[in-house]
Amino acid sequence: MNTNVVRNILAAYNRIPDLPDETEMVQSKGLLSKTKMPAKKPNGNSPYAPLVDGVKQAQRIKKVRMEFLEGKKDG
Amino acid sequence: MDDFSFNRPIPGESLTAELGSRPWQSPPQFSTVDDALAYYLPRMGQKNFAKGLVDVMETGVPLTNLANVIMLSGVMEGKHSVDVGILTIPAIIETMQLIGDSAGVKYTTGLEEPEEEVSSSKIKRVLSKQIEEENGNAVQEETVPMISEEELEPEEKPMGLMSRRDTNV
Repeated sequence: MNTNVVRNILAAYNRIPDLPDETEMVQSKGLLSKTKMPAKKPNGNSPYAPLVDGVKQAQRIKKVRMEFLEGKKDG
Repeated sequence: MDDFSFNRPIPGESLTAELGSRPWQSPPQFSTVDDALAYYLPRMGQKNFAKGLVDVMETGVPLTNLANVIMLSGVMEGKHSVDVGILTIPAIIETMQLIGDSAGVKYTTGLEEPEEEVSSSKIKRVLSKQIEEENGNAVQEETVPMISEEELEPEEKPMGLMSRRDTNV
């Protein structure tokens, strides 16, 4: 079985730095109001949107795995 | 002709089915990466799947191959397209790694560099090449005659006006 595609895409994903989770970002609207607003959703028409989604999901799961491994190390 | 089997698909057999009757010929059920992962991840979290996955991991099957098979089966079932499937592969592999780590199983991701085995024929080739080179150098040294200093022609002295004078005189 040719796994070169899988290897290549995994290597490419590993090279991408951590993308910020925009749903967690907050911003205030106006000078006086201190209401926290969720950040605008990224443009879904971007040709890279599916790739960004895939990278974010993979990084999210990787983060959970790393936390699990660290927790296991600490005992 | 010893092991020839007639029990194979006839060339073009795949084109005999009505167009659109196969799941992968119709529009995919999930068109985004998030939707496709929302289909996969809960299924991978089920106990039966995790148990079977751990068993397969213990046999040493690389996770890249497993993820590829899972993704292609999703394409065959018409769940998503190939390009969406390829983008989901890293997340699927991460999930499988998480399952493996939580079960305490050693697994191969498929990204490890294979250990290069030096074959005996390669060793022979290198050795014979080295011996040939050494022999060639020895023959060359033998064939090159030694030239005495007397046989060498005397250097021509510069005769111009601006030439440097002989300092020994």
